[in-house]
Amino acid sequence: MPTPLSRLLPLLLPVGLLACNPWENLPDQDWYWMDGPLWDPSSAVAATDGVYIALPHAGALARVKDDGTFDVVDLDGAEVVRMVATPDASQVIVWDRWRVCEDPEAEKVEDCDEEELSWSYELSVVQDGAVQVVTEIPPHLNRLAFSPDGGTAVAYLDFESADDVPVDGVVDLTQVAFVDLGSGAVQSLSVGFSANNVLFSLDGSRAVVLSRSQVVVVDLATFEKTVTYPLTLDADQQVDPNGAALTPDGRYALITIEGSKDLYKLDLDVEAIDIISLEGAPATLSVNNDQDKSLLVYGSLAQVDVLEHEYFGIQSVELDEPCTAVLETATTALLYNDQARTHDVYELDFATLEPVEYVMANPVQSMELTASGRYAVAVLAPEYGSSGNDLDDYQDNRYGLGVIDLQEDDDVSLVLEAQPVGAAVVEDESGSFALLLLEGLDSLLKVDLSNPSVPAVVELVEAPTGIGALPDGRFYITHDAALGLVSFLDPATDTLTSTAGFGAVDLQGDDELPRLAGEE
Amino acid sequence: MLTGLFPMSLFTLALLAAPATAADHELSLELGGFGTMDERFDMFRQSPMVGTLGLRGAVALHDNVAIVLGVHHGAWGSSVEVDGEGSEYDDDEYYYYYSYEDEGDADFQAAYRGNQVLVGPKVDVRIVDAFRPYATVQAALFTGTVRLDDDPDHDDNENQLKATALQPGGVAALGFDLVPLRPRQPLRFGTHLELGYGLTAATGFQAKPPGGGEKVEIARFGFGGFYMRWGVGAYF
Amino acid sequence: MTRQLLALLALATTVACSADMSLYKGADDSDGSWADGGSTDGQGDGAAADGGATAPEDEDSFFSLAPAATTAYVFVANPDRDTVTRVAVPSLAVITTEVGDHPIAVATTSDYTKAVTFNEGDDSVSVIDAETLAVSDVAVRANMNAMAMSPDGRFVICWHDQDVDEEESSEGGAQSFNEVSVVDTEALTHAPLVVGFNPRAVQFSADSSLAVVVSDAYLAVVDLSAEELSPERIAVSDDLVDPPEAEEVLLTPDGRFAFVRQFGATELVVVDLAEQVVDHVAVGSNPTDLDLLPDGQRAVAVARDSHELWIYDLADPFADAQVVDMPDTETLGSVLMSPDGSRGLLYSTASGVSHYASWELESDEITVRALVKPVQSMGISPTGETALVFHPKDNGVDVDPTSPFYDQWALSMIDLTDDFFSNPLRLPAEPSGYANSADGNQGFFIMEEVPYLEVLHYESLLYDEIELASAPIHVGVLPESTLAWVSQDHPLGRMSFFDPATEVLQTITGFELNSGIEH
Repeated sequence: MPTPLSRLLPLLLPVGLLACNPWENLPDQDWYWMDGPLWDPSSAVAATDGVYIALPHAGALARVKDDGTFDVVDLDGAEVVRMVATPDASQVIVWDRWRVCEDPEAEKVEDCDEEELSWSYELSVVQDGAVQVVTEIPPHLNRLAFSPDGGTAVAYLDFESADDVPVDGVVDLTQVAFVDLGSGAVQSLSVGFSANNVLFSLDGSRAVVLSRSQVVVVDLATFEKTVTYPLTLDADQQVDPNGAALTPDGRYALITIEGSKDLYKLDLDVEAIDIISLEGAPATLSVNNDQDKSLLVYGSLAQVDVLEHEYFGIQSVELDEPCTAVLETATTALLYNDQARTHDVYELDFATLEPVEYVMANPVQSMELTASGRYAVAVLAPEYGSSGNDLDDYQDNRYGLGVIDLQEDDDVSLVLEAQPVGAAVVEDESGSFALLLLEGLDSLLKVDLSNPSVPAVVELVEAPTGIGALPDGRFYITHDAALGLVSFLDPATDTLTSTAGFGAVDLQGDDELPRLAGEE
Repeated sequence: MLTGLFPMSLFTLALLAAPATAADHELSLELGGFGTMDERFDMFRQSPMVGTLGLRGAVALHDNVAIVLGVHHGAWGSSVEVDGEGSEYDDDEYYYYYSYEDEGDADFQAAYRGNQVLVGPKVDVRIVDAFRPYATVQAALFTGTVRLDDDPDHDDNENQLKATALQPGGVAALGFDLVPLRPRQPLRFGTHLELGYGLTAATGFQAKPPGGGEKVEIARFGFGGFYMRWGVGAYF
Repeated sequence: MTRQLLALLALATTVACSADMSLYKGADDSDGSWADGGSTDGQGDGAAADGGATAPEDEDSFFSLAPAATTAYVFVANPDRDTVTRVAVPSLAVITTEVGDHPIAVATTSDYTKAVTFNEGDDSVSVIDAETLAVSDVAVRANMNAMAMSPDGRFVICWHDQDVDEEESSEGGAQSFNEVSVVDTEALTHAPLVVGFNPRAVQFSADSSLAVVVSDAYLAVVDLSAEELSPERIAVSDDLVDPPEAEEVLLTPDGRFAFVRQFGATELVVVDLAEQVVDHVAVGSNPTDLDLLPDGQRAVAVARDSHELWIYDLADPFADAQVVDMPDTETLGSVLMSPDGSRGLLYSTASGVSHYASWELESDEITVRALVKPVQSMGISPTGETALVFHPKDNGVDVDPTSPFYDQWALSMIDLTDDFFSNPLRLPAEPSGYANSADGNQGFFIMEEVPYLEVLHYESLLYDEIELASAPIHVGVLPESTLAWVSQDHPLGRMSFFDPATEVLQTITGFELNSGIEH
């Protein structure tokens, strides 16, 4: 006959197990500080085969997949400096580096004298989780521009985004490098000081490299300079291009100059230069391929200039407030100011050149158009210190979301609970939506742009830190999780899958010198 | 702890079954310490030595020789902050400073629970009945589990990583038994203390990612350094 | 700018504007009215024949570095870059080519196939194929600063004009003021010649077979059809010690005779160029202007002091001249003929009086008319229906202080077909350039430091202002066209093109950068 005790025993076991959940009772006697971060959400690059994320602490690169798994890309001991996806997202270009010691006896970094320790750099083309091609480019070149077919990239130095300019002996600041992404072959060329922008001809046969006071056209078949256009004939004058675009026919390169009212028009076919005088130094030059026109907006002038591409005549349209940014559709343009504390957003119809004004509740921090061009979604920044009634103050002091229905000429400014850490727009058969991530909130707000007041909530596994688009129309969300956590969202079904743990890779890796000197 | 109990239970049975000889059998409760020279263990405990609690048994084989078996257990853990997330070390000023808004928030918990099994001969010298210095060399086998959790307040977070590994090693020590009661009494109580040096291999801890896939190494360290045991127990 | 301004010159002298362009006389590529077909004006700085009461008439203007045009291109010399830029019209395509050192002038041939630059820096002439921009350089004698082109464009003659403001050349060695360089732009050959001292101008016969170099005491006649060029020097003054300056020379269209007007003289010197015989004909007192009538058969001299017009038959210059009396009360020293020869306008740039007179040739009736201010220069539209009068800022002797034109620059448009009805315009600055459209319906002028192109509509006497991006420097009209071009002040070159039919202004800027394009 079973005793009461024997009856209780089967129950005691699970209770006991519950009481002994090891994750609940982790020993915690100390604090520890670690060089990190373990993973860098801001480095995430979406490719067709996953999201590539740098692991700075481990000096590794992880490919995070939407099936919950991840793998580590073998960079042969190198650590990621920066990454960028090719335009078709089939490959990821990785700038990576590894420690080198001049002392051949040293096996670990700590064994090497500081004076003998240096970095070696390379460029790796990663596809399907593996390095396909490795090539060397001058380490100070930190930005790539891709040819239209994606087969060639031009590496140049973007000094504004550079944390550091690695100097190994000498650095040629007039240099760019042309990289064949298929073979890894590199051709360096001196094109002028501070080359910071590259355009490609429509057929991809030429690259137009902009540098201080000159523009160089390079034949991509031979990598030879074919034409050099001077932007000044005075050696004492510095002319720094700060914006450039090709006209839709690819014949003309339009170049704006830092702090100048001149718009340079380079005829790439006839090889001639013309300067168009503007009324101010433009903040943005935007070419509309459908309209075959360009728009110029000025931070200090309340007007937008419409430049046609036949005779390059300018038509000026007055605005109430200056604008600094442009979004374009096939028939209209949206103008707004993301630098000043103005509230106006203008819709400019190319047919009538009559601006329609929308006034947001707060200054626009960023703006995005839906694919159809019907809706514009703006993140509104708080405007502290404003005076007004209590409700005005309430709205002014908070982040907001502006939704503009360009078809109905209607707009609404919503108040957000917290600062957005990520925003994206998506449009499908079910409608147009804004996906919002707010700081500290473990949920994603899916705002129906046709009825923005009542957003749907998608619960997240952890608080988010950012959102990005995947090539297939889905989104990835990075989370505030030290050991690594990325979610994949299908906006059509609002389903989420997560992949975690990749931040712990090589948490206590050795600081062995990955490649001995001479074995690179 | 449970894993260590089994060999200890067997040893106790052996002890009880063994015939009495001139040397003493022993069963003691011990406090121990093992060195943590490996800097990588700092993530769990920043201390040159960690303490353990366990049992030791000895089976006398000869007047001066016994086989000792010790099983110890310890658990250590830290709240880990990753640089850039709330604290920074100022190289020029040589101090840590907090970002106040993150003060108190760890990025993840790192914990290690381990059992140490040591077995080996002990050779003593009888100075007087009550005092017997000895030397011992023991093989060691550490079994430990590393756990990382970046959201310890919740049970269901994705990032609960667990990895287990065996770490073989050994110790060498000098010690003494102090058994103050008169000899030839069937049961006496005494104490022992041994000090020496121990070392285990540095082993990688491979964890299976939460979503599956191949295991990844989340920790790698070994033990080594100063070794001590102090116990009180029964000698018979 | 000084009185050397081009506005007057653009209204004066030659008919074939692009074919007969003198470096220092200015570049008017339009078919606007030049005063005659082949006369050359020297600087009138001699003493007045009437005892010094009235200064000489001013027909000169200085027009350096003006662009030159064909029907399809405008050529701009860039002296600092040693290049010439060709701007295609209407595409505004720009191509730059290198020429010699420091080109200071550019001219185009009458057939529009070539452009020629004079390169002061290396004493050469560059001949440029207008289509291909192929350049051929021909060296000339040193220290030249002026250039004239024959009507057919085959020959250019370079000489040193002492009246051109320039820094003295510091390059060492001897320097002659008697030399000219004749360049054959087809054969690309150079023939240096010694002519009279201080050559002032060059005239060509209408068929380009003869060139006459005018200097103070000599005419040098060069037969351009000869295989080897050599000058026939003809002394035109009996006074070998202190010869009077030749103010103006007029070549008859057939090239047989040259009429020389000397300031303060009572005779005209008539030179038979073929026989090299010098003779004289009476011309009243103090002839101040000498022009060819549009029919090319007669020439008219204005004898200012005797208030007479002397008309000569060029077929027989020594026959008695027809003398027409001008009003005694008026000081009239210049004449401007209408293109059809039916009418002349008589005026004076030296009297300071706000009058002019119309002269009907059929009846020889002279009618004095009023202006708002004295005359600085005068011109007639290609159709002869509208006259333009440029007034100086100076008020002369008869401008009412309450007049809106007092102390102001001014311009008057006069409808010669509507009883000389005029529309005077007050100007903010001194006009610095002027040109007429080929159809005679519009005129274009620019003013110093005023960023506007002024468009004059001759039929309506109205005007329009077209805003420019920067201050204008030169203005012109493409030959056989109504398209006006305006070069403007810009460190890298700026030029605008205005089509009065569409009222569209197109501007190119920075074309000098094209000289820096490297391959």
